[in-house]
Amino acid sequence: MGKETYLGELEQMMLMAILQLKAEAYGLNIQRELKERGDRQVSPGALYATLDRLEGKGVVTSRFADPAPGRGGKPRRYLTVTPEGLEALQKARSAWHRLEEGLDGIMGA
Amino acid sequence: MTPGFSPPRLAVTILSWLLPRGNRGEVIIGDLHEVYLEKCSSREGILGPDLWYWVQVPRVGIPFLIRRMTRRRLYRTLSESSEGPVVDPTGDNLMSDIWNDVRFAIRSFHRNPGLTFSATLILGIGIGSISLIFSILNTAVLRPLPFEESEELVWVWGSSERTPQNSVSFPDLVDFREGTDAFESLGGFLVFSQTQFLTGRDEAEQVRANRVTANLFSTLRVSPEVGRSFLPQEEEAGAEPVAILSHGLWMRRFAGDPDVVGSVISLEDQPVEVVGVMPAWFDFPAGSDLWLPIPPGEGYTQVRGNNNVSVLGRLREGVSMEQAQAQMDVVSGNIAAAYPDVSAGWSARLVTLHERFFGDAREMLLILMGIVSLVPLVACANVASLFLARAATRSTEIASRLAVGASRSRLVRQLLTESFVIALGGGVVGLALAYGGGRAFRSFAPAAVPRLETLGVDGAVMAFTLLVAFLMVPLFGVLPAFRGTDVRISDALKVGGGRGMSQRRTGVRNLLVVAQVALSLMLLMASGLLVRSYGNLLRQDLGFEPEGLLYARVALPNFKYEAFPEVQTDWDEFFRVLGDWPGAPSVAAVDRPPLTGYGPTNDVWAAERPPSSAVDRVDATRRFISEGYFDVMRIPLLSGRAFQITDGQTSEEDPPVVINEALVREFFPGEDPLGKVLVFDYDIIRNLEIVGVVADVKEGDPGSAAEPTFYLPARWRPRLNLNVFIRTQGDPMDLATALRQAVQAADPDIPIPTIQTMEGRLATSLFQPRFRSVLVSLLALVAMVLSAIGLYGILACFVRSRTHEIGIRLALGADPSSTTGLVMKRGMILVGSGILVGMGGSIVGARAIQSWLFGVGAMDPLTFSGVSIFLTVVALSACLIPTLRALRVDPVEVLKAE
Repeated sequence: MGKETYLGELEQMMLMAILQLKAEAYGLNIQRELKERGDRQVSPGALYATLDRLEGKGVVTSRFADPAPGRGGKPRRYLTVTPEGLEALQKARSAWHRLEEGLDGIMGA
Repeated sequence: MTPGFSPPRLAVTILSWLLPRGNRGEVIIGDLHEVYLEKCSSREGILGPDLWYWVQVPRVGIPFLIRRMTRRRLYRTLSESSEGPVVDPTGDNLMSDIWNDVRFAIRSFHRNPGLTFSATLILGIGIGSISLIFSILNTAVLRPLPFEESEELVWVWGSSERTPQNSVSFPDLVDFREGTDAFESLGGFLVFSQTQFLTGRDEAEQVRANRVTANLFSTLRVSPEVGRSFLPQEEEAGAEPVAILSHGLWMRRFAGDPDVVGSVISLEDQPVEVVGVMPAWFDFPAGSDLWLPIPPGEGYTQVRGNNNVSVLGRLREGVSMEQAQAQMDVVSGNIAAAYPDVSAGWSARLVTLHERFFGDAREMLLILMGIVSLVPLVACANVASLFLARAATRSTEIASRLAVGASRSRLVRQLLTESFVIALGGGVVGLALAYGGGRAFRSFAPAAVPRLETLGVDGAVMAFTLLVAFLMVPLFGVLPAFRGTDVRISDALKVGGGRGMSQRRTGVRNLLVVAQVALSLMLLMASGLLVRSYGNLLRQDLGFEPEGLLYARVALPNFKYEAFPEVQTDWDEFFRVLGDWPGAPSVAAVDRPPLTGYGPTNDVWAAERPPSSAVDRVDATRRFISEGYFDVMRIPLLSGRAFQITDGQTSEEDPPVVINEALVREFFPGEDPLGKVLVFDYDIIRNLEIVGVVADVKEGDPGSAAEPTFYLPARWRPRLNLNVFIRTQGDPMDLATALRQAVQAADPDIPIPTIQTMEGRLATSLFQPRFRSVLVSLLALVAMVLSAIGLYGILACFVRSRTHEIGIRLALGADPSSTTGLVMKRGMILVGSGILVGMGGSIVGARAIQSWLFGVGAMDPLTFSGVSIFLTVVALSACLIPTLRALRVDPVEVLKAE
């Protein structure tokens, strides 16, 4: 990657959700994970748009698999975080932590 | 996973159109499918899964659509700014042009909100009226029956010339089964449900039991949700009594306890084993609380000609209706030949089960839809008129755009897009009206319409509404679009140009007004005829006086009361107590009240003229009545006497009989029937002496013709269930509570399932004609107001365009009344032509509603002239304002402007 990849907050959350879900990371589960663990309600429109954007940035790749019976014969789109994605996420997290340093008194423990 | 459920197909189609093609879109549809199934199985949320799915269509789809469109526009902007040819990689710039047109249309609506609002509303009313009827049709008729492969199900009518649609007898059913191989199975149920008492556990409850053949449920391919169906041996002699409960009864009385299957309940004080519970949706025959096998023996299954079984069957795969009918013809021919005394002239006729239950409603709704479709036509003509007028004022704008190089086809497309957007808006308004109208309809409609409780706006109604909205575009949009862009640039761009309308354009608008007036006249005609018919029905002599009559159904539970003769003592006591009330109301009773339908019937004939074969026998309606019945109902006694307390005292002796005029006409035309003998086939042959003749009573609906009826004293065969009538001076409902209390005090186990005024009962039976006349009248008024507005518009325009001319005329000394005459004459020519055209249309159309008319002909001259005069008066008042404006033209102002 020639350019620095910048990740927005929702994008970061989504990447982490994908990492958490491992092999089970597909659209619906990601939405559920964000809601359950991240306490963040994402509309379907925003979910799919963000996933497309992440793929456009090269931080995730997707794989279409098994047209399943309980889905009206439609495939699932499984997502995996690329090494570039992992790197961008780590950068964003460490920037976060650096900025947070010394703010314990204000932010709470 | 929950198999069997799938999201609304229309929603999926729309969604897949909105979403990206290929896997990227399919994945999203798959995800939604999964959530949909989860919602189906968990039943979470107050909204149904279908509604949830519909909500997702715009929520998920619209962002994608917008992204797709903006991306193309962005690309176009970029490529236009660069040198070189414009190449759109997506291959269509039609889409983005349309998008542009839509945005432009919305901007132009902003500039002219009044016109936009009225056009949308007018179209909405037009669309909504027909969508409402469609939604009723869709609910009541179009949806298939809820049974598996329901198109294979057929109904068997026993048919003779006199009664084309009758039930058959059990021996006939047995012969059908043996003589045909077209059916996978043939089942049936007894025509009359039985009211039985369920005792034990809680207090006694009256339940409706339907007797069915053991294979009825398997013929319909419905299995109980708990337990099992009836077994073939359970309808044979000596079988242990068994019952299957309805879901409702199971929940209500047994709290949904699955252990009830296998337990013994007490029906009519007899132990009956429960073997199953039917699913909640299953309600066939309608209103069943529980089902019992048809008992063998007795009068139920042995007597041919005892037509008490309704038969339905499932066709074997690959067998057509015609093939099955051919087989039935052979069998029924054999039956008629073998049993000429009961079955001569009789045959079996097959119709689909769907036709059997929804055929009548379908016919009524289709006719209604035909009438109502005039409303969207009026709306189209009206809006076309509005658009033409606007095109005239926009001619400068159009001319400028043509002058700077826009092609005419491009402008036509722009104007058509505006029409589409307005139509879409009208569709939304129409949908809302259909929804609101449907709710209103549901709240006041009685059981006249099948499956009414599921009435609402579903995918089919939405699709229909959308279709109507788009079909309207060519009707109201195309003409203004072409006429509107047909401008001579040089003329239109001159200062003050576009003041006068071209002669041609006025001509078209005139035609539109004529069309509106004609269509309104047709609607008004239909409404006039229906209202008159309804009025005639209301004034119809029912043969009794419903005013001041309270009606209550009282059922003595037969586990406590002996059938007879002791029960008569109970009834006598009951009547005596009621008669002692303040005001001493008069009380009487009958086994079936008027307005419920003719029947049950028995074969009767005059003793002096016995019938030679079954064809000559007459089915007459039989009524058991108490002594005061004719008095209390105020049924005129024409000759002879009514019953006395001494009549029918012993059940062995043949009682006297009172007959109605229709029976006299049938058997004793031109004779005095008093003292003659009526023979009555009731278990054994009875000879009844005719002691009185009464006027005909409407036993069926008020529009029906009176049928031969004979009355027997209730004392002869005391009944447990009686319909009690109380005549009072004041409001009959005042007595309702007192009656309930009196019955409860006498015996808390006596239920009163029904208590209402006879006038209320009459209103229910007149629901259909009332609904038709109210609906059509309402829409006729709407159409009339629309055409009056249209007329006003064209005359106002006429006056405006002639102001100049009128001013000069007045300046030259013309009489002001001549100018008003000019305007009025023009208006009257339009109205007159409209009325003439409309009359022609009415003459053709009135035939369609012939069967709904009562006491008035389809060509009723009074209605024709009344409606025409009414329409003319309304039209004249619409002409008035423009006429006055013409009068107020100031010649000085006009000449100054020159």
